[in-house]
Amino acid sequence: MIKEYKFCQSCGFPLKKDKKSGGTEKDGSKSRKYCSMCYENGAFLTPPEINTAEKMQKFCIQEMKKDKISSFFAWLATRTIPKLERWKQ
Amino acid sequence: MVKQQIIDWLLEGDVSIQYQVWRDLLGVDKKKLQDRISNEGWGYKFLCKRNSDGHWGERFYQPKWTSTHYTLLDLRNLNLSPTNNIAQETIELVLQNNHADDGGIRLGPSTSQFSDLCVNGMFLNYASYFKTAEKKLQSIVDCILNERMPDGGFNCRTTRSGAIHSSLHSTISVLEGLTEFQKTGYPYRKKEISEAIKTGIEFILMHQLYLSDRTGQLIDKKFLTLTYPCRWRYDILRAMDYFQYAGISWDNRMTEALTYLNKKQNKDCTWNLNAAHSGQVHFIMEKAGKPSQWNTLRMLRIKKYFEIE
Repeated sequence: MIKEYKFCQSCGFPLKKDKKSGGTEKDGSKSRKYCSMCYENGAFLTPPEINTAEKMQKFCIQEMKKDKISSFFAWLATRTIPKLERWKQ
Repeated sequence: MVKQQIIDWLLEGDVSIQYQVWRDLLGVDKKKLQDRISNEGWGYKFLCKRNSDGHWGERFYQPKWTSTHYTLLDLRNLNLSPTNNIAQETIELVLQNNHADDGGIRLGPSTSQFSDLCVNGMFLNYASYFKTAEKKLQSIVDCILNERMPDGGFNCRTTRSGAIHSSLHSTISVLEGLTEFQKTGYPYRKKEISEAIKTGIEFILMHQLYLSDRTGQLIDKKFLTLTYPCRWRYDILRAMDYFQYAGISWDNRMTEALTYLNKKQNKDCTWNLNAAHSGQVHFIMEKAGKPSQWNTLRMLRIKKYFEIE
């Protein structure tokens, strides 16, 4: 059975809210695991130096602040990142 | 105010607030303090309003906020001792005289065929809390579970005018009832209840607590108004308080609602009572527009449970 993910397993964004309905795999199919902000053509869009959960949290918070999202919201929205599949190992 | 000052302020409040502050914020379950709720403050006031026939108000559901039903719900939310014999006697009275044909609780003499789903949920909540025997609640559980909708939630209009979408009002009341039933340790239809709780929670989360799943717009601005007592009405503070009580894990779909609630905090770190639901009451616990110990307590226990600074 294919696992259904509610949240992007890279950044924690709710997949149902993704306007592009998710990222894309190399063959162009929709990713069930990652959102369109994190994943395209089978590769992550985050800069290569973002290679730990902690760095990803900081990166996401910075990006959200650029969109004038409050730091409280940004902290809440990113605090589950260490539990997501991309960062678990 | 710093946190200790808020705690001190809350501990100056009604004994029911004091009890919950000790239990939920300071981690000490002071049973002797809980026992005092029936003898002083709000709890005592509610109990004194009971009629010689065992009811409050005119009867089970009339007039609304001073009726037996809403007074028992108030007493449960004050955390009156679960073994209080006055509450237990009145619940027994309701069970003897108010059973509807569908197994739920009928609101009045003219409503014998169908009960109301929201009332069944609220009744199950306080009847379970006050240790009503499991067997006497089974038909109410059956009645509730029969009404689960395909979207996972509940809507009391299914038995009246019909409904195709669940209601957040009905869903929260039912969730509180089913959760209390299980917390009491009753095994009846355990798997089905757990499944109904799971899908009901998912229904609320699917709406990020207050947004339409179709348009993303606010469903009802009243969902953002911090009231207390909540009565049958849904709001985001009630939902978050339920989530902490039910012991569910953090879900990112709570973020919008919690950010909104956090913004409502006053400079002195308290939260106001934004409004009260209109209607006759036994007495006013807190004034609208002023800092509220109920709302501050609820917000602090939510933040503590979800580990939010």
